[in-house]
Amino acid sequence: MGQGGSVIGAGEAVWGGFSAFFSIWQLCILQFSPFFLAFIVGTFFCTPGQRHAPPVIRATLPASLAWTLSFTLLYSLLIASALPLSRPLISNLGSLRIIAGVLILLVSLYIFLMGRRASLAKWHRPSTLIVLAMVIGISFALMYSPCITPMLSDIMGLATQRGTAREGWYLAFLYGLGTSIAMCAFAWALIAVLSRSAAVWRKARWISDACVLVLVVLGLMNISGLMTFYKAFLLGLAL
Amino acid sequence: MSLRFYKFLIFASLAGLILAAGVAALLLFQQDADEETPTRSRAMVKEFAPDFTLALLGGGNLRYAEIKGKPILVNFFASWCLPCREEMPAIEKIAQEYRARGVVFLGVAVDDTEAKMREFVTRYQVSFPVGLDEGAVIQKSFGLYGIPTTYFIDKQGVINYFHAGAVTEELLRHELDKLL
Repeated sequence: MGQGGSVIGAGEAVWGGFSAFFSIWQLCILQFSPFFLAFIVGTFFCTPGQRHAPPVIRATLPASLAWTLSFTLLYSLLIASALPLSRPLISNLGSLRIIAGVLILLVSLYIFLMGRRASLAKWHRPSTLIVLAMVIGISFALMYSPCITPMLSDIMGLATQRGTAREGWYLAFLYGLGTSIAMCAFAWALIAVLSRSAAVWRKARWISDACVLVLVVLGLMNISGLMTFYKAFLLGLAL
Repeated sequence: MSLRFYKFLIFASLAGLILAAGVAALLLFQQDADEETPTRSRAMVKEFAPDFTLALLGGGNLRYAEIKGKPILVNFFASWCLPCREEMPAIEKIAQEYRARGVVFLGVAVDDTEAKMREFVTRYQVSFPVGLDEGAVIQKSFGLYGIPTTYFIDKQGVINYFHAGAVTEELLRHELDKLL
């Protein structure tokens, strides 16, 4: 059962995921890419008591790494449906998406409060951001309905069969890693451009609040099931 | 960057690697345990298609029990999905050809709205029965993650093959011929 996949190298899988981000397949990745940007930009600009932009990489690297790891791990598990762990996850996706929505709302609340309460500044540490980024990464993998690109089709050909599920999972992990790296690089570039301007930094709270709003909308869409409308109308419009 | 930050990064990276390795080991262990029981191997024992009821566009329900015993092609798609748009003309062409030979074609829209599904069906002149999988009930029963995915079910109700990704005319002909 399932199709036989072609032989794909590790580097090829990473590149396939990376290049998908900058190709027509971005239309599918739009399911979560704007929300990832909202998270990274929101946490960067909500830094309390900060008058100037901190170094971009230093401020965003821990969260980016944590997001990449958690998103890629869960995404690849969901792709590799022949693995024993994957089926229960897929069977419970509906409930898990609601939980993901609640978690996204909690992360939004953190960003919102952090920009307002100086007393909470002691909590705004890389370790906190790592936990939040992991939560967001897991949530995004759950809410994602991947469009199957030609390379992903080959990978799934392996990942959906018991005999080759391990190899398929490994390649799916690398493919997801490529997409995540591209997304993080894009986010860093965006923040680097934004934070260079003193005018933008003066509006840091507004930017952070706008990001919170985007994340709140995402959380509510996941809880209510309106995410389907986002996919059908906004992604459909782009095509 | 400060020494403290470097230390933290190293710690975080190690923690991440340990976590990834742990999950990988768990997966591999579970898979090995399953492979020790050959009767449970999907490669040896193919799965039966799950029972489902599809609310059809244009009214009425289609129950799997009503069509069981015939060769069936079930295509999961969404109106906003690029590869779904690419493959639909090929599926429609093959449907025109194989319907006369007794194959039942079904389209199941997932993560979609009825209005958009209707637009999609009109745009690609889909002639076979199509319905919206509200609540992702059918999607879950097939264990589906990612679209498009096409299932080929034989006369015994066994999923003979499935393809994740856009299908081609050649692939459709090859798999459908095996069901006849």
